[in-house]
Amino acid sequence: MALIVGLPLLACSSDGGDADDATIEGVDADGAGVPGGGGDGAPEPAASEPDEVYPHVAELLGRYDGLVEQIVADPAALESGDLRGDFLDLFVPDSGFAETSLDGWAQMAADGVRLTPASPDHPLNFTYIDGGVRALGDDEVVFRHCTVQRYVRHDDDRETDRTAEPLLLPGTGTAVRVDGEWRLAELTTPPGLTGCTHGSEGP
Amino acid sequence: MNHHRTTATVGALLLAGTALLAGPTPAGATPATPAASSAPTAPGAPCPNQVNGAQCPEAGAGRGGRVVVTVELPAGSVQGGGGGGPTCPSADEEGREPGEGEGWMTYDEWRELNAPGVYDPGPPPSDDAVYWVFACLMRSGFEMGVDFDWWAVEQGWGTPDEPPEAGPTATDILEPLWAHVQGLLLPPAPVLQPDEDVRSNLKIPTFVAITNPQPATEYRTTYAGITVWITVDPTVTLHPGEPGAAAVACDDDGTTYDPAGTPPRDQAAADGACAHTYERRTGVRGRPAAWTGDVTITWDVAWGSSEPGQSGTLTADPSVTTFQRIVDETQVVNTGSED
Repeated sequence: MALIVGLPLLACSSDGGDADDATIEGVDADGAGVPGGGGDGAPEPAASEPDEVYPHVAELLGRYDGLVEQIVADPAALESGDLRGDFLDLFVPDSGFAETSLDGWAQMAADGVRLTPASPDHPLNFTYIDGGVRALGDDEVVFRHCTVQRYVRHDDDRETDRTAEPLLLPGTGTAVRVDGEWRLAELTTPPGLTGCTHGSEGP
Repeated sequence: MNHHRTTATVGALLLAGTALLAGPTPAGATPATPAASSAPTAPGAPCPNQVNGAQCPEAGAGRGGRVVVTVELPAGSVQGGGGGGPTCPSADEEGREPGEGEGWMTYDEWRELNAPGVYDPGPPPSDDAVYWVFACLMRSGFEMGVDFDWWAVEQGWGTPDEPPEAGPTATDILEPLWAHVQGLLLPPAPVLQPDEDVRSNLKIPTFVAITNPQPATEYRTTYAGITVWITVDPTVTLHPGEPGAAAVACDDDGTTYDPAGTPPRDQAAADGACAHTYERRTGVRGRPAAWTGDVTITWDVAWGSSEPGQSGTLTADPSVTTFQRIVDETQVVNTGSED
């Protein structure tokens, strides 16, 4: 397995120079307040305007994190209620990534595994855009993201693992505009990578 | 056996720099191992993401229930050298000025950027080898997020004076991989019960087993640090050949009649059964001596790669195998007792 090099200086730090002062204007931690959002029916911006697409992707990631936290806390709950539908709504139709995610959580439920936040002050799963959003076409963007995880693992209600430090998992995501609305397509956290440009707190 | 008809998702886009996940390979390098397809393999590297394993590319391999087959391309089979070397994505797009310092830089220079995407290059291939990174400053200029964002587009070993030669693109690798995969898309080998060379009886189902099942499969290869995969999702259909008979959707291995099981008609009526009960005799009233049926496999093929934006669909001709079914009203064919 290849090892990452050249990253430790930034891997667990949020003092990323100029980036520290940057803010996501109009978007809170849950992605609320997206410009142009609110279901007014207007098409969301094209990928050619990445700075306009950014908050929409950030909002999707915020919703993703919220749902993931609910799901892994009780994966069996996917069998009932709205969680499954809410999760699929974040993604492009027939998303293989979404289905694979749900399959994995169904297996977690079958194995008696659940995850809970390791800290009352932090979410279990926090995904932020670690840099910009780049257009792949009119209706598709790619972005580098960081997933920050702090969790306690329970096997049959017995604690078996706990993240002592935030786990920083960088990767790449894609989003696709479907019928004028941005949806997540895929998120990756490749093996062999740790550390994010903006540390555990994000930009 | 069921094959799963899952919409292919081939947008597993990674950072350009993550192409070295499987271990750094100098750009343009030639694999040393001869051509071969591995046996179906389980996903390889452990997934670091315990919250959602689907986020791991390797966990994604084989998604949708596909078998994963690793293909090692023959040495020299990949043509092309990337079309003159790497360029910065969208560098010429409106509103983006090429950033200062873009282009090839040595590994030491790259480290000063403190940007992710470059991995341990391992031992140098020679004493004077230098590791190079082709970096792009994806300065977007927007007010949110960061105002700098370096991307490692390509990397590899070169000399102190020269960066590595341009490596292949994902499409360069796709071509021989697709040629290899096409050779693996075989016509179905159906076996009829009752046998094809005996007369079938009216009202007695004909079962069609397929002796060379070809499940949904993902073929993948890594060449010069770029991973390319092709997903093949077959759809198997039985066309009985009898006028007015509907096509029957089959699993990839069809259906084998079980003499110890339920009555033939019940087995034929089961969900997913690859079977047909002929209603019309052959060889009478101007009808042919036998109905010509077939088993057809249509292939949904998509491809993707570890290179952003390098994905798409491919077209493969359906694979068809015909058979003859003689249907007689009086001849008893012993496929098992029926109550």
